[in-house]
Amino acid sequence: MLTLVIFLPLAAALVLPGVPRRAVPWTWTGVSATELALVVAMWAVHGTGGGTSFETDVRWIPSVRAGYHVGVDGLSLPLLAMTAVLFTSCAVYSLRQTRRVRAYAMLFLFLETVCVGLFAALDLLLFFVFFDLSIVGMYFVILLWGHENRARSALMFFLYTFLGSLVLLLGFIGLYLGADPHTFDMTELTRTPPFAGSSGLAGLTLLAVGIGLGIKTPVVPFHTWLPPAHTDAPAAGSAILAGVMLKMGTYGLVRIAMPMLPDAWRRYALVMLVVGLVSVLYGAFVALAQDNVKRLVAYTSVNHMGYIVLALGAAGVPGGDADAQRLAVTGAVTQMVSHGLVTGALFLLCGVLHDRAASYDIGRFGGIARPAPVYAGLVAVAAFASLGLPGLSGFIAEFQILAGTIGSGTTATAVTGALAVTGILVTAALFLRLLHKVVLGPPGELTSRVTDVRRPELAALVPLLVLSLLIGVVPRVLLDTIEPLSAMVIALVGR
Amino acid sequence: MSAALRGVWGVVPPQGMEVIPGWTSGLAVDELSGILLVTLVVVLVAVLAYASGEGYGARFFVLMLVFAAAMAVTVTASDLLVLLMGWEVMGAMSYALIGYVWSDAERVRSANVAFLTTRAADMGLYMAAGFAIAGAHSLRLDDLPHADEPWRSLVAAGVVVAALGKSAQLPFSFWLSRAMAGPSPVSALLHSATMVVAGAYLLLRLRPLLDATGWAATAVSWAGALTALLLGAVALAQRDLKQLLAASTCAQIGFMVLAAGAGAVDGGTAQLVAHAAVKSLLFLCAGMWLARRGSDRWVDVVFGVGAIALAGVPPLSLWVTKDEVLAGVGEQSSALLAVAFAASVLSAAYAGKALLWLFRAGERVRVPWSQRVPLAGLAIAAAGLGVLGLPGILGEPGPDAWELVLSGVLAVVTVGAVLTVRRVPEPAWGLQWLWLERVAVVGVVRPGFAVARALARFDDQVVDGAVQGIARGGLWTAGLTRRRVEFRVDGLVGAVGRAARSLAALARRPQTGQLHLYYAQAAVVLAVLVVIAVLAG
Amino acid sequence: MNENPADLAPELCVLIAAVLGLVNGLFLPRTQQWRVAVICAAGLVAGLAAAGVAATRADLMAFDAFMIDPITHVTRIAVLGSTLLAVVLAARPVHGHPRESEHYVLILLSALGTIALGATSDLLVLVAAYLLASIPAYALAGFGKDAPGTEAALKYYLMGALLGVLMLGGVTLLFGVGRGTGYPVLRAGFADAPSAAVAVGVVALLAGLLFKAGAVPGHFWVPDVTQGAPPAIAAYVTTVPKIGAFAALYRFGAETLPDGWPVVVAVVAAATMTLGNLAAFGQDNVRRLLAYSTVSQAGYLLVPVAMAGRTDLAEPAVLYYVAAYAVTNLGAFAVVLATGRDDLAGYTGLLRGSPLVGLSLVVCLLGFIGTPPTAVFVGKVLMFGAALDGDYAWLAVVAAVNTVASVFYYLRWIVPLFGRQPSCDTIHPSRSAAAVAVAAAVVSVALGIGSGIALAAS
Repeated sequence: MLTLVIFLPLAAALVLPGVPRRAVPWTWTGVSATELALVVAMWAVHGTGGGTSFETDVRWIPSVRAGYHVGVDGLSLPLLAMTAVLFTSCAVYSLRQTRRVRAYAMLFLFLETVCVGLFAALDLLLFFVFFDLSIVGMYFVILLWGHENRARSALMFFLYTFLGSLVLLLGFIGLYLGADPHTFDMTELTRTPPFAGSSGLAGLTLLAVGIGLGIKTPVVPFHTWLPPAHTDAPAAGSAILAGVMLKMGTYGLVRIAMPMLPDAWRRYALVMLVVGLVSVLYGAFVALAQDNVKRLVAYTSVNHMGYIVLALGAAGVPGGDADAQRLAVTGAVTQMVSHGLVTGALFLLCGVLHDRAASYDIGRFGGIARPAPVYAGLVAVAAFASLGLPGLSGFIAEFQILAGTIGSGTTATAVTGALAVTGILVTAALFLRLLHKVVLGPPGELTSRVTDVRRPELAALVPLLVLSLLIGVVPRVLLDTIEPLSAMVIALVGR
Repeated sequence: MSAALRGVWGVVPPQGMEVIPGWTSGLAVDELSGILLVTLVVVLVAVLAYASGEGYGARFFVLMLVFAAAMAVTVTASDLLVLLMGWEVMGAMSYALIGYVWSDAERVRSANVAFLTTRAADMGLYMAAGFAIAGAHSLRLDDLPHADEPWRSLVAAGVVVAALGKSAQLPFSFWLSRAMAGPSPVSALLHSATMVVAGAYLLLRLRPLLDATGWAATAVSWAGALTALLLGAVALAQRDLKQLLAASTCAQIGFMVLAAGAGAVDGGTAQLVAHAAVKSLLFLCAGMWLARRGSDRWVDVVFGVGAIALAGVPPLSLWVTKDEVLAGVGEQSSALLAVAFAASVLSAAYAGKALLWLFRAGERVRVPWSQRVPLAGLAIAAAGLGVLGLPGILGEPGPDAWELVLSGVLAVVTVGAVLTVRRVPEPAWGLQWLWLERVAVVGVVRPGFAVARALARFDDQVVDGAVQGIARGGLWTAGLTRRRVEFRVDGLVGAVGRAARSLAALARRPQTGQLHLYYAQAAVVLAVLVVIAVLAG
Repeated sequence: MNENPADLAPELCVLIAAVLGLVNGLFLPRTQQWRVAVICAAGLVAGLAAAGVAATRADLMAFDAFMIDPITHVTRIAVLGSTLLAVVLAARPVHGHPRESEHYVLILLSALGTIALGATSDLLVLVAAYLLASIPAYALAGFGKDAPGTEAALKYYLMGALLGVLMLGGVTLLFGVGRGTGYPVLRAGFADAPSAAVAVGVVALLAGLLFKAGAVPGHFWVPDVTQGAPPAIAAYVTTVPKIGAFAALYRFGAETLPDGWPVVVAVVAAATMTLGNLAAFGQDNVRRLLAYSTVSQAGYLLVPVAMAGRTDLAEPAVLYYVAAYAVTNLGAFAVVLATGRDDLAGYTGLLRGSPLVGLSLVVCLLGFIGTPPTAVFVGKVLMFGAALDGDYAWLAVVAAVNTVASVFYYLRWIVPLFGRQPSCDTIHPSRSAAAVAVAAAVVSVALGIGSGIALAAS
């Protein structure tokens, strides 16, 4: 079942050359919707219990004990669902795409397989395969369908994240060599953490894994690939890049770094706290000074992902209150889902703007609410979701993260957590500035070109925001799924 | 509280649930919440009835209803999470309502100021939630006083900051001046039964926490008293009726905050309810004047009732409730009492100044019954809610008779004096709201943007620059390598191509030309390797 | 002592095919010489089959000098398979050439030498194999008889001559200090030999093998030959001899364990990969680009060679990487042959013009980078693992940085493929080369996904 879910999009991509051109967008949408239905079905079967469901373990490279080992649990299911939703939204959004539709659809389906596979992988090597392929796929998306500086941005994206992936690979090999017996299997590595007794090597391995995942997340100072990549990527590409692919970094931290290197994680928890805090504040402040909508949203991603790193750091601080730490981890996972939905929506909204006026310059718009009231409403909802308004998903996530981090009860967590709260004020300021300059106020130079959202765009955007609203109002379905997992992570880190 | 009231409110059991698994949350209605809910609903109905005559669109009513709902959640929340949800949504709705006429850049800016100021203070609540978990292992409001130190003090500090910000107390008062950019019905609701009173409500509700910390109660008392005094002076200095009313709101809420700090919870609650009626009435009337450039006799009368009530003239409502607060303060500290008494006199003065607007010439316009009725209802409430202060209704013993008489006489005399002199001092610091907004802009906003711009430059030039520099360095090295390695090879091949195709020439060139360089290089490398091998072996 | 000729069946198949081809070539008219190609190909296929069968048997030593073990099996299969592809690639360009049959025969003889190079565990046989593998290759490099080809052949030969002589000297020295030429004897002999003499001897021996492997300092011929020789030959000499060279290097390192081996080879590896990468930047000629890419790949391949005997991962790493490299490299060269274009600009829009060939090139180039799930990815994982396990973390870091740098020039080639205006309208890719390219790409991916089976078999 899970294997089917993983490879269905790829299979669809392979038969797509045989589909008549006009049916391509609908086939793509149909496959994505089917994928979504399958993921939801898996979630329904899994329920809110702990443990791993739909596990498949096939020997792949037995000589290094690497296998095709996949399964889903409370951490991967929400992310899988978010991935499927976002890809479906992108498919719907791209119904009007005219440039190389077939290749576009194939590439996105390929990316969907890669992303789903990554979140389901329970083997380090398999994880890495998907991790690396996601870079290649996104590179081509930016290169072939991007805007002005796409070749340069795509190259920078590839080089930077590829460097990260290689560092990650070294870390994985470190884990493999540190385990006794050597293995790439995540379940076994989690059961008996490698490097029993050699803390120096564990620290080095955590450094490699941390940098590899940190580049992908991205945390300050490894974030500079993100703004150009987003600025020049097509809207759907940005949505996937920010919505799904950034999560690979933090997902890896929860799935790999924390349970497999618990000692090192506890020892360097303070570093994670500080890195998270710096990302939160730095991302927010730099975003405040941006005049390009996409760059602005890109930097808010740095801010939002920073909260996750902060919470995961708090979860490792020795002597912290376990319940509060669990709250922080649950918040971190919720933030992954929330950020995916909301930032995905924001990037698609940016795409609408660029589609109409071919510009992202904040200063050239204004008063868009007049010609495009629906669009303005969507932007407002997405902006408030992103700045953490209660009733929308961002609040639930950030409240849990901040309350859990501060509530862990140590001086370090209380101070960093309290400082991180400032982030929500700066985020509010920057989104209000965005609304003020683009959506409200008197009309600007390009305002007349902006027409309201079209039906496919609306159909792509509304589900994302509705889901954000649902998570904000009735978060229990999501939280109950995550809760056993975060309890387990806290227990694993604490041993 | 009286047993009768307790019986009424007691029938609604607390609604327990867990928004976040493992942390009890919920809505609960007790005496305080009940009073606030009733106040909210009454004012909301009056304001919406009034607004329906003004022709607002659906967006207005949706936002107003969500605004009121958020307030309802805030006052019934039994834990910090649900409280914060209502609290923040209320802030966002105030943003949307203040910036209702969104095409006007200035109004949008005012909405921004209002939202950002209150959110800055709201950070206190976020932190308080964290501290509560750390100290009390609970988010429930009734667990907070039992938190361990130092967490209890931190929780109290966070809550106090958030409450002062929401209630536009010093030093956050300036946002309320900005909030006047919204339509009048919005002001009427925002200044009476929602938003600004939420802060006062929170402090009244968390009175046990303030008590438990020791210092927080005193700090809150002084913040309230000083706001009542200084913002009273600001109100007196205003030349614009809406601005006067806005500043008077700060001052009046100051009495409630003072009550919370001084332990006069019932007095504060009564003050809150009475003030809600008075202020919504005054704002609706002021809006009428502004919108239609005139009014009719009916409006003039109800406005007069409201203004006199605001002045604390007996026997109208605020006279009783304010004195009840003062009575509670008097038990605590005489210095506080002196400040509060001065503030009370000031309130009579600015109310008198508001009354002066009645004497200005205005057109006579017809006001429909749909608007007259709500105004009349509010006027009756404004006049009669003094009964709340009567002993037995809200519990506590009332003020001494001499206090009542003294404050009543002072109020009457002050109003009379203002009406007679018709001129009051309007110092610049008062007119400009103590320059609070300028201080905030210079002290916080500009540095914030400067930091943002500096960081953005830093990001572009240093962080990204370093990455680009590494890339450039790599390319430069590559160029170097190519020059060293490729130059001869390229040159050779090119030369060969140009010179001749003859085998002889070819055979000669490598021998005389470049191959020896290959040999030399290979030999050098091998020699180095030998050295390495010997050293390593 | 085992002297059963049947143990050398694959080699004999090749030899017989070569002799038959030579004899047939003498009597066949010029237009019929393609039959020699068929004979040679048949010999290679037979050899492959024999090698496959041999791989299932237990390890043994033949004629006291010829180890038949996993290294030999992989060398045989990789060499024979690659040679088969090279023969197919060469078939069309040399069709109707006056010396067509000699061409195939030379390829086969060189391949034979290469297998011997990888399989022997005796220094004397190693020297003989070196000569057998090299001399036909010199001739092949100059086969085109044009100016660049002749020049390339000459440089190839002269470099080979110098380093070969050094190697002979090294062998002599090692024979002297180690009191033997067989590896087991040498291993024992090194223990009480003067270490400086051993060091000099080993480095001198390395000189020749590094020349065959195309690594520093024996890499100078690679760009010239790749650009100057006929493309099919370039594909052959940058692929097949390397297989034998790396097998021989690994075997020598693992079986004699000389002091200082890891350090020396690690330095060579780091230098080779860095130099190859840096020099490949900014190349506009795809054959030169590929030449430097092969140099850098040789650097990565030397990493597990350096770790010989230090970790269990070294042997699978060398063997897997070398096979993966051979397939990928042949695939890339096959595309060059198919399109017939040497300049990067000539590849604009190739994916539109001929999607399959373009896609194969993308797979091969991404394979060089080490993108999963291609074969080189598995090789690289094993390579990194060997370096880390052998406590050479710095070497792993150097390799990682180099891999990132290499992305730059491989992408320079990939980007134009997606261009809009196909400048290669005129290109009608040659059928056989295109088929080889596609086959190589498929094998590369299959080896990556099916790496478990492949590793288990070796």
